[in-house]
Amino acid sequence: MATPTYDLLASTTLTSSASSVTFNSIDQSYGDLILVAATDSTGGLGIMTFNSDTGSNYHRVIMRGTGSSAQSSSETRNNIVVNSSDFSVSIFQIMDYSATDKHKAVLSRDNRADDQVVATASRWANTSGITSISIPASSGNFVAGSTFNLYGVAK
Amino acid sequence: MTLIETITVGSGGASSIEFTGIPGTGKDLLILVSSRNSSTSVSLEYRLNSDSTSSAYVMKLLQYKNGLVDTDSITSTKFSGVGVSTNYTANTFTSNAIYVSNYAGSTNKSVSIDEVSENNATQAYLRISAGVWNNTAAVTAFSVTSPNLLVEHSSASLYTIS
Repeated sequence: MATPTYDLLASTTLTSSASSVTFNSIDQSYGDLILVAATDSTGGLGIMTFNSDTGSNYHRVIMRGTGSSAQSSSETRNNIVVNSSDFSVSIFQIMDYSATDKHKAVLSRDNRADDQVVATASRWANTSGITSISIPASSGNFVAGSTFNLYGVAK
Repeated sequence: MTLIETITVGSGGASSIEFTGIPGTGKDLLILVSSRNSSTSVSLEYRLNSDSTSSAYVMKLLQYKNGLVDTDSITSTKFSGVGVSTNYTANTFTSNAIYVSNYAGSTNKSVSIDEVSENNATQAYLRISAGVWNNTAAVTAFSVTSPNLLVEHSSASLYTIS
């Protein structure tokens, strides 16, 4: 049986505040991508887009627990939400990201212990392979110490 | 992702599984647990660096619990996990995944936990949890503890992600 691999493709640790982090020229030879973002930001959220697409092409279903309310919803957005507060950790699995014949599915877990726990299934309605990922803060900046690690999972 | 160690409970059971001396060479930690309790408790406890300080662990959780969906906030001396009790179908064990980001860093540690105790019956759990350990120390130890004993064949594996 082949040995599964989980390779670090790119890593960014902010040494000073920054309004955005971008991964370009993503290796297309892996099966899936894993993005782990442990961040804090002045605005409390990041917003992720693929291939600089800021159109309303990101659809999601979400379930959320706030400690007092269990919620579910669906919506169409022009980005994928990344929780960003008190170095919360968000983990995204982007399936078959390099395929050119299917929309891209993303499973994610957003974790803010001070606020909410979230599980989301998203779809980017585009058949292009994902070659870049941009994560700007929704407002303000990501603070120093925020980390963004991008891994490739072998086919 | 590198397997650091797997610990399997032997005959007679054990009250806990503990990893110590975790190397600080990775970015994140992943711990996978398969467990069954020797009692009617459906709880597990997770601790970092053996810390049992009051209010050290803060959680938000969302879960399917015995046919209902609910959510909770917990501040405690440990992270609360999902176990399998003696009331569950024989030979069923939990599946628990605990992800600790930036475990060797100097900020409080954020944790993502996914757990299931499937029972082929209404009595079962599916839980997701967000946690923070309010401590800036590097994580060098991790423990899984049962209120009573973890039965033979319970196991946990620790991976670093670099």
